[in-house]
Amino acid sequence: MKKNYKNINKLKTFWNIFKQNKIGLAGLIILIFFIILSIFAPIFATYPPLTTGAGEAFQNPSIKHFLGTDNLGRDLYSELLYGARVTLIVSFIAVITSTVVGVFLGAIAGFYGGLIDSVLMRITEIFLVIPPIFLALVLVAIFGANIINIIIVISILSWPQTARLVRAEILSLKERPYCKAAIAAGASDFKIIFSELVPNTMTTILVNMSLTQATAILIESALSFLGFGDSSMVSWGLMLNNAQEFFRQSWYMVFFPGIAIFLVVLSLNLFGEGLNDVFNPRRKKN
Amino acid sequence: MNNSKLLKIENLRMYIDTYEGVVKAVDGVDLNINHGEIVGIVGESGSGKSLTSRTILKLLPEGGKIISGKIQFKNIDLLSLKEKELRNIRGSKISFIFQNPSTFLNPVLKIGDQIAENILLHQNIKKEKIQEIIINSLLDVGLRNPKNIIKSYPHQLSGGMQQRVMIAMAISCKPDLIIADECTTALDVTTQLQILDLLKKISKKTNTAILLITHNLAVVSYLCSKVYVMHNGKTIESADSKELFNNPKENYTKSLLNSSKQKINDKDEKKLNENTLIEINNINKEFILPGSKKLLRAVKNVSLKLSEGEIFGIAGESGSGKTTVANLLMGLTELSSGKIIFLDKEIYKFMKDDRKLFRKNIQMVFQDPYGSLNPRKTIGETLSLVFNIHFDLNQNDIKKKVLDLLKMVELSPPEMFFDRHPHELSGGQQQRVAIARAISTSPKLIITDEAVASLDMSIRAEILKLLKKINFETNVTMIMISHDLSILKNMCKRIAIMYLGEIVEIGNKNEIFNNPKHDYTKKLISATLEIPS
Repeated sequence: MKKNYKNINKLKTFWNIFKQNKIGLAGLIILIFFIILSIFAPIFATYPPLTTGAGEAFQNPSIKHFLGTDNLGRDLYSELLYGARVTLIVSFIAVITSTVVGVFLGAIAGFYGGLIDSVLMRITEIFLVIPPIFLALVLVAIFGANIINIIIVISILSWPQTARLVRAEILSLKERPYCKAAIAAGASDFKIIFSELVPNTMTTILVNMSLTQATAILIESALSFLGFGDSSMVSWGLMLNNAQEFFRQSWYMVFFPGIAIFLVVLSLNLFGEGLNDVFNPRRKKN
Repeated sequence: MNNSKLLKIENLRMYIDTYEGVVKAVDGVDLNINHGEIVGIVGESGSGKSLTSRTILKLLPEGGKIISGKIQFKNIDLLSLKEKELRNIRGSKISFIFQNPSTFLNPVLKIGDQIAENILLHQNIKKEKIQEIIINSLLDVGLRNPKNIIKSYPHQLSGGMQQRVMIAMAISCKPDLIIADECTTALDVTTQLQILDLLKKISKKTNTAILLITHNLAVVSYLCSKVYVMHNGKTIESADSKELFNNPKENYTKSLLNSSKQKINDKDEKKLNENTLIEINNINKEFILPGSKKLLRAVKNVSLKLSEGEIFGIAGESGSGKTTVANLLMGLTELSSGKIIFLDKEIYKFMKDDRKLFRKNIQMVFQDPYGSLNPRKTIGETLSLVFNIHFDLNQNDIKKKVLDLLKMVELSPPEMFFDRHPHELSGGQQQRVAIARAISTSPKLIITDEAVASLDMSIRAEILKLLKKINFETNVTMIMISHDLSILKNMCKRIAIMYLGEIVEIGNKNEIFNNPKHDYTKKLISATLEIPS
């Protein structure tokens, strides 16, 4: 019971500090906005997903079709709402997986060096070198084309960059006197790596998370466009890719999914800034 | 020698607008420098001495504004000059030498290019003649291989050589005034002496005035004819060098001189028991230099025996191997050969059998107080770490122990420091925390590696007093490593002098100082400047 109480208190303090940072708060609000949109898509949408011929093709935004229609007459507004689901799920899972795996492997490689480092880095390089299309092809051939496979592919492709960044930071941080002092104090390796060093790489990790998310959305769109994804699901990336051909005829086919992707990536970026500020020891304390 | 006034500063005030309000960095400075005179400004960190020197050439920090005052250089009112006119003076009539030559030299440009750039900014000289001028200026500062140095990059030179290059750049346009801001603080004692002698020589030869800014009173007494003492942004006292040291008038000056002389009371010289705590037998440490196959012998055949409760000093400059010895004793690096026996156990066996017990009994205080504390953890968290590892106690008991620890190192009120982060503490306070961490496991041996080198004079004296108190009360053995013999003179009974990896001389401190045998020891003692008493 006491432990729960302590954790709730910590959360309260965290929230008190976090909400003071306007930027982080803005990011969080935008993020929550899109999450709500995607969860309640069936309620907000005016047409079921992928309904071709809901209206005439290439209609401008109107009262009937808030954001217009695309080349097959699909209602862009509804597509956008349903597309939010795929885009958000894929990008968030990719970010979380790549961060967790990347930080863990990067920190270990950086701290121990030597053989462990070499082996881990070679594995990292293998994944960096594999063309995403090829990996998707292999997985689709074995397991079929669906959203889970897309998520797996993108996660596998995203962790190497995080690992390399974290490894680089750890390499320099482990020479700092406070790390040596922790060793001298008798702390175990695990404790030193994850309690002393990794928290000091937080800024890098948070910045990298935004980049990973943006990349994840774009890779997903490419894969879906090529047919490796689930054809019964719509995503923003897919909408964007589809719109490229028809740019001359309708700006709104490109604009709305593009703006949506931009806002979601921005919101995660801002949220990351807010988080970074909360954990920044040099923050002005009131 | 032209004795007319070169630089006259009257009631200079420069305030800085910061987040937390206005900082009165320079708050009433009066200064007079004559042609060819060497003048010193002494003060502790935060006294405003560096900022005063920058203000002379309007090199103000962000948010800085000159509020009032006059700066008269020869016949020019510097404060009335426009930026373009100031640039003509910077580097040519008044030039700077800074503390850390490695950061002030451009790492990606060759030395020759950097000096040439400096010259060409102010003078119109043909390319063919430049080479000759550069070679001459490098010879003038005592560098013997100018052609090689011109082609080198900064990182290929030693600290002393880099500083000489900076001096060469500073004198390249034959300035009337050189402002040297802590220019020898980062150098070894013997190198420092050479640089100071070089500055003396240059000043005499070309009648160049030097404004020397430092916190080191001994340096000022060696080089300067006139001294200004700064405190809280004001020049509180000024006098001829001899006058100041023999007859200080202000209370602050008196206390500064007292702490610089570092008289620590040796009242209770306790008797050491004869038990050997640690025995170091013929240890060697070799490093293979990356890239080449050359071997660097960092520690050569070092042997020592320490008794329980003694304070032992290791003196040496950079490259002497003293820090490597500390790392070897701590088990942070592996011996190439030799044996270390600690508490009657060979240390590698000790670490294998009971790593935690080994770590518990040997602790270290590092040189950089801020770097030795995790910036993301509060003081309380950093100190609790040790208790969490070695003792099985609940959080409340640990907090009590940490508060006791903070009281022992005279940080009060301890509750306030518990929740603070390192950057909120001053250097002296950070070092106290580091000492608290070292004593928290009640170790048998504490190694301090240049523990007071980066602290102000008065703080230094307090920290050394604290260390002596801890040794007296807990009988912990201490190894003090320093390049500054004057510190070791006051603290240690026995001292070992290290040079290029070997112990060249070892003995009781009185023997070493009164009767040095090895040449290097003699050189080190003479280079250790002291304030005339």
